[in-house]
Amino acid sequence: MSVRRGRAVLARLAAELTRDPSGDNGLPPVDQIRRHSRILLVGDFLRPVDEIAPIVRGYAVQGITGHIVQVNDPAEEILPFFGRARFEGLEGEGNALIGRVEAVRDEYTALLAAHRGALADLCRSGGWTFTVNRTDHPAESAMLMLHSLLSETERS
Amino acid sequence: MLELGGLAFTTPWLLTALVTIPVLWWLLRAMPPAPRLVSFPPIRLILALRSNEETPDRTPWWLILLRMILAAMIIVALAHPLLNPAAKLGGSGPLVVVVDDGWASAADWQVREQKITELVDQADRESRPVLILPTAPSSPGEPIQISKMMRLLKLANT
Repeated sequence: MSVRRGRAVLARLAAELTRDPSGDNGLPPVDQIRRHSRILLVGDFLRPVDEIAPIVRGYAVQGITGHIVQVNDPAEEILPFFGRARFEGLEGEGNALIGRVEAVRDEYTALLAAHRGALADLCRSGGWTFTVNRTDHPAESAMLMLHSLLSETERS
Repeated sequence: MLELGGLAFTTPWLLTALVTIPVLWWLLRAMPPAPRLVSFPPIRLILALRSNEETPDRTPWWLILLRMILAAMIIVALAHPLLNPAAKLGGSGPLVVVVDDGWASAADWQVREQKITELVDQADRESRPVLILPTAPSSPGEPIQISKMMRLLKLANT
């Protein structure tokens, strides 16, 4: 959805929000947008970094800077389960049976940390910023940071 | 009655229940508790885990072994084990136990009593009636009541 002004944009925004997401890869498209625009992407960003990279690079090539705010559930971060559990993806990615969740917790948190590290590297390479926010933590700090980042870009 | 060395079982057919133990073993191993279902958006990270295959959730082997031993012990106990049962009684028909219950046998009376109990139990297991014949005279000076013994034997043989 390209950037427009006026009342009509509300209807289009609503239509976009209620669109059937099936058949969608869940990633924002790389559109042609005005120079010196700023992009704010908020989501769980749990897809492989390889899939997110074209978006960041695509915009970075156009000279557009952006911010990624990764919002995660505490359960996604600390894997607070025990014993046998079958994990199911919400978007048909398949499922995995884990014998003892507590035994893989360390490896899981390491993988998540690596994923975040890769996202942060990706953002840095395109001149973007990367912030993580947990749903059980107050959003104020993330908002404050975004505010300062966005006003900075505005001034420059 | 089944005898294995010093051990005997009065209801040996119950030991056939021991064949169910491997079945129990298989059940405990093959059916671990059902996994809980978790809807998890970072499923890709879970799928990327490498250490999963090496850590299956199984009931620990020693717990299974303990349960097996417990089950086996219950079955064996129900089969009514006897340690060192007395040798089989000779002959057939009723058992007559002649007991010297005079003053002279007071010194080792407990041993005699134990032997009598053993003999009575043995006869009971073989479903034979028991007659106990005390030999001590009921009053001083009286002779051993052999006639009573003969009478009892006669009675038993009829």
